[in-house]
Amino acid sequence: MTGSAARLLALVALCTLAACGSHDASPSQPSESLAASAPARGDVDRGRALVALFQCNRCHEGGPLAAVPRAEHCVSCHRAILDGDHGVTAGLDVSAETWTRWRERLVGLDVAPSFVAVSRLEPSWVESFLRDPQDVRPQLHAMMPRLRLDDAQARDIAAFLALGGDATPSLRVTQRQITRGRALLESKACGGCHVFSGVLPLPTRPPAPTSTSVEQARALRLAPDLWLTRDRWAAGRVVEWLMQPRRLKPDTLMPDTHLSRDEATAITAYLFLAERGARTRPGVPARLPLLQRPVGFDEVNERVFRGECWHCHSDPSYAGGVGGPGNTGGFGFEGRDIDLSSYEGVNSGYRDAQGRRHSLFERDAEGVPRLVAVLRARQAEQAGQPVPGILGMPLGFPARSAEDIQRVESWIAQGRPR
Amino acid sequence: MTVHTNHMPPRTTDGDRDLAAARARRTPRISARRPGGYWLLLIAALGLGLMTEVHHASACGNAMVLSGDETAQTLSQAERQLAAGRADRAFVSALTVFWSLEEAVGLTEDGYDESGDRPSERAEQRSNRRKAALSARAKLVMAVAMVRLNGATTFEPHHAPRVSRLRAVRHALLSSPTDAERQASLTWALTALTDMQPADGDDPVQMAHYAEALARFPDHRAQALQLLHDLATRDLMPDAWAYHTLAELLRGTDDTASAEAAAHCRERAGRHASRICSESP
Repeated sequence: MTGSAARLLALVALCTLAACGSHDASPSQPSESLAASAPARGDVDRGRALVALFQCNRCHEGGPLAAVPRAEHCVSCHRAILDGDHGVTAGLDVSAETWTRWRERLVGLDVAPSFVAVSRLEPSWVESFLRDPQDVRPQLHAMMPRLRLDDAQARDIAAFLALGGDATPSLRVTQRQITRGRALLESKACGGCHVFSGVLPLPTRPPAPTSTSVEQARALRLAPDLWLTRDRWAAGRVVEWLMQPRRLKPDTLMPDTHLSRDEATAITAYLFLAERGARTRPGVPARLPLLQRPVGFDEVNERVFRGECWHCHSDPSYAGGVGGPGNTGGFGFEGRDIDLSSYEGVNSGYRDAQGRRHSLFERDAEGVPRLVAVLRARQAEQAGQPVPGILGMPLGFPARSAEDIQRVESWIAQGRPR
Repeated sequence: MTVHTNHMPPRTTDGDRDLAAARARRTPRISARRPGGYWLLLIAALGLGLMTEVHHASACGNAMVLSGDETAQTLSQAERQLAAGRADRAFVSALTVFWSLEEAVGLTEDGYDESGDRPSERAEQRSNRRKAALSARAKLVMAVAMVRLNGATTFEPHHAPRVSRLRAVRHALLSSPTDAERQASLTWALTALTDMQPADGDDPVQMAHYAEALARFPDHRAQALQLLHDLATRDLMPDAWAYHTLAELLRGTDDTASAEAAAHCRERAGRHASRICSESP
């Protein structure tokens, strides 16, 4: 008997039993076994050093990492701005108008998952996620950036983050539980926060308020796509999580929905065994033709460089010597002297690993200027087609639109007028 | 008047010192009755001193600093004025910033306080990296503005007595400078720009500014041409001014290349082309 035939027979048997049974998993029912947690494989000490090198604690709070000052912590600082906490601008005379403008423009990095109890996640998934970040949280503006790390480094970091996690045994579930799990996801209004790609959409009825509106909004943005659950977690741990989220992760915004073990197991069964289609990704937008109208630096600056670019590629002499990870270095990146904060800076190029300076407008074999290539690479990354050797920009943020890239290309083609 | 080349900073000659002494004599002497503007400047400077002691969100780079730091905003404005061909305005704006930072730090260029004593503890505490960076940036704007004004300024930051500075700003721009004054100012600018060259000499903005200054001295036009040609070949010309200087340097020796550089100047300058790219007489 082939594997597929055996699987078909098992499913027929499961469905038959589901149609006439009334109880959950019992020794008499056919069941499927969901795997136990797997141990980490990497070197913990090297992982600890790498977490420091990549400055993970400038976005993620808590867990095994030492806290950094708020002014160096992207998420805390942004949150302070949104919360109206003027202390974060210590010493700067920020007008009410400026404050309002910041709050209007600040759309990302005001919330990120903490590292508290990060060991609940499967090390193998953490490892692959670090190598090839996916959009885990569809409603969160930013996502894990694609860092310059190799397989061994990803493995070591995953091992360090798995510290303190206990082993979880395998879990047996039945087909009836899968069906019940779907019903529970609907009745508990899980779709109010979570999406589950690749299955019949969950009803989006909002959950009953369990916290402040601000917290609820943050919870919504942190809610992962349930498509990934079976990769990120061991099934047994999901059951524990669903029953008492805060017991596993004290700072979680996931509400306690008071599930029994049977209910939690049923939901887990659905999350792990529901037939799911592929996760949809955006395609790579078509490259638009050059604009015929004049495009000046002011337009490109306002629409592109001042969006996210200049936060990481800024002029160090205006910021106490800190030009951001894309200029003076950080997040594991060596300083590359890229300054996107001014016309002159943009035209001054970057330093390669050997310290030699190159233009940001050098063309590749297809005649695409490097600046455009990195913007398009981000579009490709979002489509699941990372470009070897090129990190898409903006790093960890949504790709710029085809129209914005068209502006940049047109500006370059017109001789980069001020 | 001697100008040193090959990235060696020119040093002050006897002639320079004589000129500086003459300038010092020309500046108004300290009076007991200080003008109101002085106190305003001093208050502003003290405010700046306090504001620059603390740490704001350095992680946000320029986004936060340029939104909330008045000194940085003024300096940024000076840079925009300079880029747009308003060298006179840029010079005055940068000069104001330079002095206000100097007041806040309480140090002269060589690190001593103005009474000539050793640096005070307070002064040392305040002399942080950020202020030094802004101060250097202001000096860069002044030097480049001096070059673009072809030396039609009379200013040396550390020779003007504090009390006379506001008046000195008004007098800094000369309508009809003598040749000696022009030469002295251009030499000061070249010295300043030489001192600012990074150790590896590979900062396109600094290189282009340095070349602009070198181009004002007939003996050093070849070096200026070499620097700009290198930048242009690598597509690292930072702005229209660099192309303008290149076009001027090539004019008469390679008119085709000069015209090409002038065309790049007009492309890069955009709406400022008429102020930046017109041929010198």
